[in-house]
Amino acid sequence: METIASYFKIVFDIGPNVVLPFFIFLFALALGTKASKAIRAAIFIAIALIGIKMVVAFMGDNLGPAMKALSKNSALKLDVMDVGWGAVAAAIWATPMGAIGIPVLLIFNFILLYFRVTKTLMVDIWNYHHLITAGVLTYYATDNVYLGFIGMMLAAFITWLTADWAAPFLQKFYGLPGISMPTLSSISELVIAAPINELLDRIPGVKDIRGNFDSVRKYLGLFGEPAVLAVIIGLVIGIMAKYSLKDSLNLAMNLAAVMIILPKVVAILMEGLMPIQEASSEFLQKHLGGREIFLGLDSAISIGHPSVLTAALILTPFVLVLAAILPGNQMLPFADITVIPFRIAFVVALVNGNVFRTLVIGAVVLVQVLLCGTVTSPVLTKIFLAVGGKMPEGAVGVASFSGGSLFVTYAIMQTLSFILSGVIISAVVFGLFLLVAKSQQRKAIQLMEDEEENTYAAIQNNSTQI
Amino acid sequence: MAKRVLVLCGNGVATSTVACKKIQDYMQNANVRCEVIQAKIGELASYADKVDVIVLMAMGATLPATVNTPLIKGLPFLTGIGLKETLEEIKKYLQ
Repeated sequence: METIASYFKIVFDIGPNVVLPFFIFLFALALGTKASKAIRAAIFIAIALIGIKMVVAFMGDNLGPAMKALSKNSALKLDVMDVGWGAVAAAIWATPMGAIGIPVLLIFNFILLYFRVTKTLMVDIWNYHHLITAGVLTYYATDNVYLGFIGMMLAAFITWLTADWAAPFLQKFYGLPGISMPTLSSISELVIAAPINELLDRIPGVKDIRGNFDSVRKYLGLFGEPAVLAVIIGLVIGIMAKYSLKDSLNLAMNLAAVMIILPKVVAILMEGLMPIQEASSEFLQKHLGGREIFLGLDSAISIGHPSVLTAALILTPFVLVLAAILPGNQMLPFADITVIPFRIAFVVALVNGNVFRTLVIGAVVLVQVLLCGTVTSPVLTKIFLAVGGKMPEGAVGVASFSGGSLFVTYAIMQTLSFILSGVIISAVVFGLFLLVAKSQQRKAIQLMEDEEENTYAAIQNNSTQI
Repeated sequence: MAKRVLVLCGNGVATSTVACKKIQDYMQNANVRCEVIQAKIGELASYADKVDVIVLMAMGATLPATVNTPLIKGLPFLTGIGLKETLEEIKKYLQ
């Protein structure tokens, strides 16, 4: 136990911007990547970590004082800053546990696949960060390295099994055979969505509402344009914080800059990881032939459906109002507002495109995200500071819509920390989920098959009329 | 003027980066000059008629009715299955 703790300490002292790239370099070499490619990958990752830090610091310099003024000049106490999933992922990877997370999880996936515990081959190395985050959060919450690793494995286990469960109706809805989507940030919502959907199925009257939302895009279209959205949010915050017009406008522009530039820097991180992704993918596929496998991909491939985008457009202003009025919430949504589509993508498949249900479930999910994010923020903030992040004045913590805001991650963290409220909530929700899982899966597929039948019948009728 | 490829994904960050890089490398090796633009799925309408081919990393999106830019499914960039054919098809539109 001593040696592990001291290993972490030594590695930590070198500095996260060097540690992770170095580990990535070694790992890439181990997987057979050419040295030149491996070096380039490592350097790009270092660049991305530094870049993300820069942008988040800029955001803090602008949003921090605004938050302080907001609490002083209005009734709102929104002082936990949403820095976005990219910044959280970068912070997590900068920790020693984060650096070795990918190889550990790859081996774990391999073992589970080998023994046929799961069918999901998670080649989406990028999204391992959600699983590693659960581990690092648990480690920092419990101060116990072993519990941290257990937390990470538990997150992986739950993710892969849930991905297996969701695969049939996701494959059908999105037309993607042979694929599952083990992305924890989209899967977590299903654990909550399934029981709620079952409930909605049983309320007479409500269960038949589909809703017609065609005019949404016309009225709310500008909420889909991130830069414009950021300017609006900046202006609203500025006005509510009683800033002068000049200061409000500047805040708005600076925030728009963050909203557009942050994803671009996160993309650099992705580019750095690409060789690892390719090499890992080849390795896994080569050694697991003959099994029925779902290729585990990023949930990003499911975002295009019109119902997802429509629901997200409506939920965007909703989450901002919600943040202001929800008791117990301190998170000021900002950088992660654009990930709302990811939070509802799988829900849309579960309800076969029913926008009304997506909105109802989506609203509940957002309440959960805001509250869990607020509750787990202290631990996340500890990590953020430990890897060299700066706490802007006016903010008491950082959060995002991922990390501890994901229900599964929250459940694991709180349970392994033996926090009673967390244990009870987790047990209840997971219990309900397991109860309805089988039937919900069947119903989701049934809904789609019924629609196919009806469409086919309609075409048949039309053709006989001719 | 160089032809343009638009690569769209959910966030404009992760999966589209993979496709962009692969397209850039492939076109460079084939000596085909092109410009690769990366964007979010929500920005489809604003770019649709300004590019020569669109690669969709996310499923289910629809082109506005008035646009006839060729649309290519980007799944092969993630699964590796049918990747060569997809890259060849993109190249066709850029030449």
